Amino acid sequence: MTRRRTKRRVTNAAVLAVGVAALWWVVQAMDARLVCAPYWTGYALLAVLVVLAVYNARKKFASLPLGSGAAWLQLHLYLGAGSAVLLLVHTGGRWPNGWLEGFLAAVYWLTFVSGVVGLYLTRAIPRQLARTSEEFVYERIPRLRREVLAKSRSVVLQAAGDAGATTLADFYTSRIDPYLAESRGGVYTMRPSSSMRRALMRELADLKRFLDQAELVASEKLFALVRKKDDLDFHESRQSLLKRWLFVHITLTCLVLVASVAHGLLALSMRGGPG
Amino acid sequence: MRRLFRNENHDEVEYDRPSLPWVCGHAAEGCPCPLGPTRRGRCPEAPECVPARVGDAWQCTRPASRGGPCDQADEGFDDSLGGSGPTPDGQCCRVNRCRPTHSLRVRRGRIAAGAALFSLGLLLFLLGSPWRNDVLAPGGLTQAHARLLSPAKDPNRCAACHPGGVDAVLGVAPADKLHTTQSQLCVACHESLIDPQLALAAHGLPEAELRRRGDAALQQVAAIGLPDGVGNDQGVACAVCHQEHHGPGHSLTAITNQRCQACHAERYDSFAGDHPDFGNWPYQRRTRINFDHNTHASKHYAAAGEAFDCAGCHQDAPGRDTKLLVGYTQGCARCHDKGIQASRGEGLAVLALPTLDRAAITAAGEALGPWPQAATGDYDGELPAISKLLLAADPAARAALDRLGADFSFFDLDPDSTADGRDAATLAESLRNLLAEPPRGGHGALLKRAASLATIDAPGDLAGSLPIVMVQAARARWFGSAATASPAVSAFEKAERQPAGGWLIDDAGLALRYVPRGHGDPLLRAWIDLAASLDGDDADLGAAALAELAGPKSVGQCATCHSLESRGPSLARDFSGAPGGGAFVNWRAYDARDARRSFTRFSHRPHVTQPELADCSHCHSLDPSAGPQGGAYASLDPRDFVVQFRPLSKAACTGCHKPNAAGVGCAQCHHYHIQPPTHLGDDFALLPRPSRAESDSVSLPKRQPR
Repeated sequence: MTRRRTKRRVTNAAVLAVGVAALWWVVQAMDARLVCAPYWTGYALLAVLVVLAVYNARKKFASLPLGSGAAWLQLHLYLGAGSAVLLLVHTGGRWPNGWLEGFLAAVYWLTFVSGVVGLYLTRAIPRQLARTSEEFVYERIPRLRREVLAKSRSVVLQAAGDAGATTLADFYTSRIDPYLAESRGGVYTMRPSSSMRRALMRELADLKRFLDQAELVASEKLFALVRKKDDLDFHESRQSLLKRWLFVHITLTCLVLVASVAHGLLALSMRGGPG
Repeated sequence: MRRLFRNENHDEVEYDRPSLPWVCGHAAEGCPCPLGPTRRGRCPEAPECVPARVGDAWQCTRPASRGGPCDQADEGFDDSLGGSGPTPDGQCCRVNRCRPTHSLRVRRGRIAAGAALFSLGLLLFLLGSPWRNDVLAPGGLTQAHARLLSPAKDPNRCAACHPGGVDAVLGVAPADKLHTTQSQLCVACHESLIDPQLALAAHGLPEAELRRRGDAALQQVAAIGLPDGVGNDQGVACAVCHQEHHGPGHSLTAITNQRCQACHAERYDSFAGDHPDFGNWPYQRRTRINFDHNTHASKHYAAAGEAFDCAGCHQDAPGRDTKLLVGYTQGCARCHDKGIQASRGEGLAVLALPTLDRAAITAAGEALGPWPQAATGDYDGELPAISKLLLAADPAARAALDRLGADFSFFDLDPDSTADGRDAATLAESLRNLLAEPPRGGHGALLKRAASLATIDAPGDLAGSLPIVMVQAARARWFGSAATASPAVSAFEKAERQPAGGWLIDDAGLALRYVPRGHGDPLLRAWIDLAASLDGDDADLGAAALAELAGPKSVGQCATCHSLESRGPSLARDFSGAPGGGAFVNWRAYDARDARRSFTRFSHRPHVTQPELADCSHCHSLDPSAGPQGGAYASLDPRDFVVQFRPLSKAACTGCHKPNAAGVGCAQCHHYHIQPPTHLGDDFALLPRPSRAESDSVSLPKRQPR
């Protein structure tokens, strides 16, 4: 698999390199013919941006035979990298100092950076999620969390009834139930940590010497439920990041498209006149 | 009716639909209803289950995810939703009610669309606001344009350069306003610097001229064809090279080498390796002042025991971009004043009466009329050049001059020739009239005659403040009753008594003479200019006049130093023996500040700051083996000369002119826009633009019909 992926990367990178070289040659040839290359690179850049944006729309037409999603992703990634080169050629490596052009360049590069960040997230997060006990579907996480809560309460109630003691129940009520019932904050979403789980489990382990047999059995179940809740939180935070990153990337893409079309119209309307 | 999308065995086949636009309001609580919202986002308010009939009873089928069958432990659900267990008629006792929310995908789409609409609206708002120009401009203007195109808030500011920049919200011009091009708008402002007719032509040259010029690169261009837009009707648009909107610090004239190589396809990878050597540049023509560097260095200065120092004559111009020659007084007078004074002799004969053979004229059937006795005898004497030019305004005299030849002498007339006798009588009559005119018409009468020959804009110079009373006196003495006694003082002595110049009557020679004031005498200069400018039918007259006025032994010896040049290729190259009209005199030395813009440029300023280059001879090294100029200046072609300097080697430049040092850009040493003159021929590149003074004195050609 790794070998195949490496081969694919080398092939795609080679195609990109050839494309960039061809672009450079064409622009030089245009320059040598006194053709105003920025107009043509502008057309090409707009076309590339549309193709890049269409990748998102393509997901909505999954049933149509438009090629596999993986192929589209590869096209999106390498075309995105190529668009950056095209933009540099288009602008001559200068940062535009016009209002609209400066805005366009800013949102383009923000989109590009968000794309790079997204690429990292889509590569790194699945590995992180695979290290947890199970895989969870993002939309089911609230329900699963609720099930964990219900199950933990049931376990604790039964243990209290069997043992006739409230040692575990008291600890559960004060420490574990809030943990299981509440969702984690924004800080956790950005930077997940297992410190709270470890603290709870340490406290629960310390409590074991005060528990009788029925409560000990229940505490073991609580250990598992706390771990599952932590896994659910971790999945939710990571998958949420993966989904919300697209908010930024797609929003910026829309801004790039609007600003690009406006820039193109203005450039064409202000060009030299007939001939 | 909507159906449940999952069966009773829900947990095993649970099916999520994240792509649907609406999500159950209970989803965030972990207990979404199995039906989910409608397409329009409404809660179906459906029962929580479809009870199943088991025997005679109905059994709740609520899935475990929602708490399991409601007739059992129903913890966590609000009892207000209903009771527990199916109703007796098999209906669910509970109804799900929620406020559906948008799915993540829809929210994402809405945010993206909202941002796009907001930015579009903001753009439209700004285009309709006072900041419109700031939004439209892709960058700041250069300082010069920014100053000219103020005020910045003018809604039509863009239209000054962009045909499409008229006052419209989007800056899009109506079709009827797009008949002009951006380049035409550029030229409309820059027409004082660039000829509008040729502004867009490559190098500002007509296409035929561009192809004709024999540069090797252009030969190649001619073979492969010019790039798009070059040499056709549209020409090369200004914006191809001059890129605006890069801020106030941007140089509009900074162009890349690739721009040059679009036509000059022979690639110059490096100045040192590929640029051709300089050939004879900058010694492509002789100096306008005939100054023999070798002779002066080896002979005259050596004889005087003085050092031949370049800076003695070549001094920095203001700005130090170029060197200027010092004037005559500072540079030449010390040695040359004596010669000029000596050349005055008895003065320049302006009007003179020749000796005529009355008998021969009578024999020819003509009457001589009144003529001084002292000027009667065998044919003899000369008509001064100025007299011939003035007589040429008289048709009869002109015919006689044409027959006798412009350089004729009365000595050569044949007493037995009837035609010569008739011509002599005609010229005598015309001379009498010429002498009679000034008292009646003043200087104007003389200038009118001169103007019939060529257009003179400064006629006062031709008259030289001739005292009219002197003409009257001469006429009275030569033709009147007053006896002309033998003069006590010769013309030579009279001339010596007039060191400041002026007019004198030479009674012995029956001539009216002019004694030049010295260097720069305006009368001599005016008549030499007139004679040099004569062309066509008058060329012979002009050549004869130049031989007398600008010859080696002429009064003032003007042409000894001030070279004459042909105005065009069709003219003779040698004025001494061939027709010499259509030329001009270089009264001034070369002044780079007045020079037409040519392909090559050079500024001394950044070079002479280098210690080793402060010595002029580092680059301009005299070549003693080249010899003297000799008679090269007799030619009217400025390219006929002896180069007295060693060729300027490219190696002298490559030491500094390399990448990351002094630079090797084409535009560092070459102009793209050259200044083709409109009134000169194809040798214009060698010729100077007439200085202001010159253009004032002689302007051409508005010849009056004779």
